[in-house]
Amino acid sequence: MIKVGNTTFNEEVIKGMSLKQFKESHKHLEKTHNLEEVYYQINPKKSTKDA
Amino acid sequence: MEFCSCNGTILNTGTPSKQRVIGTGVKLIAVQLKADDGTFNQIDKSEVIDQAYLDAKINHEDPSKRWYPIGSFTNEEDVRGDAITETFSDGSSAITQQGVRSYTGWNINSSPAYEKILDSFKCTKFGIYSIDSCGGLTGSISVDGDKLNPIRINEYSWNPTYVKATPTTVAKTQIMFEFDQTEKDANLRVINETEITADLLRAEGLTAIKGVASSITTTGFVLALTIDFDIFLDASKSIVPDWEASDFAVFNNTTNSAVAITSVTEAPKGTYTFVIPAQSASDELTVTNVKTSGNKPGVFLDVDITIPS
Repeated sequence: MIKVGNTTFNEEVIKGMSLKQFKESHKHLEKTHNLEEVYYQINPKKSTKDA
Repeated sequence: MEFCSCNGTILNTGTPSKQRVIGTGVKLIAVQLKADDGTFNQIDKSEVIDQAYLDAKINHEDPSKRWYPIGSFTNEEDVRGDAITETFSDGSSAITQQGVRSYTGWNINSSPAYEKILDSFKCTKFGIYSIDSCGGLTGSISVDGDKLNPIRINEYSWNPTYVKATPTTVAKTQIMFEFDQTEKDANLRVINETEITADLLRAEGLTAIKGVASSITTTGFVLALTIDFDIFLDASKSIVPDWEASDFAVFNNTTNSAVAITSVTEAPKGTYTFVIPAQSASDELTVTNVKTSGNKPGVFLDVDITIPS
């Protein structure tokens, strides 16, 4: 688990998601979190693959 | 009954140089005599009572196998009444049965809500392990001598009452009960505090956490946590803050499988928004706290959630 602000994210689950899936499932955090930054913090190798 | 052991054999009267006496219980650990699966709740003589053992008992997933610490008590009294006798015309008497042993203790500065908790034991066949002021644990030795049973209670005598504060005394919850008449003092045995590394004197039972679910979808829900004890109007004092995703466990009862939580966000304090992998409509979920291996042992959360159809 990683904690960003007031949210704890399960890295193992998020590693299996695309950026699009991650953003869609966390729309409630759009205004409080940089979702793209969180995603690539968990999936650094995917930064050149996901759009 | 007093006629049971009259088989004519006199036991030898020598005793070891050091004997462990039994003190009154300052803390009681209530345990169901028999678990729902039919097994007896006992301490085997091979078991080590360390903190992990105690934590596992208090946090047991099966309520019928759980240990329920009660107290601490002060002004405790634990006495056996006079034996019941039959008196004959020449003035002599014969004992027909032992007197009843009863216990009284005060848990001071407790709220009336604590009495409600203690009342819940009235309809259960249970016993107690008594913890004395030294931290020793007293129970009743099994017939085969290999186990320590909880000391059986006469559940019909279990009587918690609330004593209000006065200008000169503090409020307290008083507990009075009788031990079962089939329990013999001669069968009491102590696990010495030097053999115990668990902190029995500070053991606390699980605190019930109430969860109210809302905004339920196939991919998440919101859960507001509160301690449902004695707080009526001041809701801010009952919220349960600072839990994280690793403190929760979600189980899908319909598919009989654990659900990996994607994320948990706390906003406002005590209210948690869950994101989970998509479940099916009408699925039945249960949200619990992770106990022995998680960050929040010592509390009990069990919330059922139905995904809307």
